Amino acid sequence: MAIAGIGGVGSFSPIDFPAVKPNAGTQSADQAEGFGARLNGALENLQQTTDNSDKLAAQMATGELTDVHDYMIAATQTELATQLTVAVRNKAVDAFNQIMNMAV
Amino acid sequence: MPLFNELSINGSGLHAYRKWMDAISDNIANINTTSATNEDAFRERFVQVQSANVNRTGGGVVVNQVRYGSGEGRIVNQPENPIADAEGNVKLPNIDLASQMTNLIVAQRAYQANVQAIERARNAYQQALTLGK
Repeated sequence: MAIAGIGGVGSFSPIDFPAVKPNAGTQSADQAEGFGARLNGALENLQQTTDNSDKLAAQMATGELTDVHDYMIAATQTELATQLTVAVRNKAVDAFNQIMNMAV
Repeated sequence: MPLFNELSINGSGLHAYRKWMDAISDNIANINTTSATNEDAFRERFVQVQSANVNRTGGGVVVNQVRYGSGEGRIVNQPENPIADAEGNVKLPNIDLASQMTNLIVAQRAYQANVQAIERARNAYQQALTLGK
């Protein structure tokens, strides 16, 4: 019984990764797009969300808030944004620690 | 599209339904408001909403304006009323309490549905953050 030889592996098509664009407004195109810069952008974003939520909280305290759900949504957005930023930071610290613990 | 946009989309729904509930409250509050026969009766409030353009604003609903129903009302004989005319008639608004209550239930349930959708979106995002842990 003739057994056919194993054929050569065909050429691989390159995988097209979608280009990740830096956050518009917080970074210019010629700025270094390192992880630090991205994290900085995310933190600025978080700051904006927190400011908005603080503003609504102050309105609620002074009785100017007309819609309770406005504050609740802003607070939820801040909560999620904080959790996301902390998760990203933790991942970064993990990666750093793994590199630092590398046996030389 | 901003981050956590679902929350804002359902937030616009909450806003619209709160406005609707406000309008219904106004209608119910004024259901016994009498006016003289030579002027308009209390006009029923209608909230007019429209879908926000999905491509431009990221979806949701916007309250366009508050429209008013007919001021014709119904003529009721109340001779003891100080604003009654020579025949003892006054005008009462032509608002049906039963349909206002039905609308109130619809608005309230829709508000709750939007709250639920926000809650689910929040849970989904939190689940996504547990990825890789």
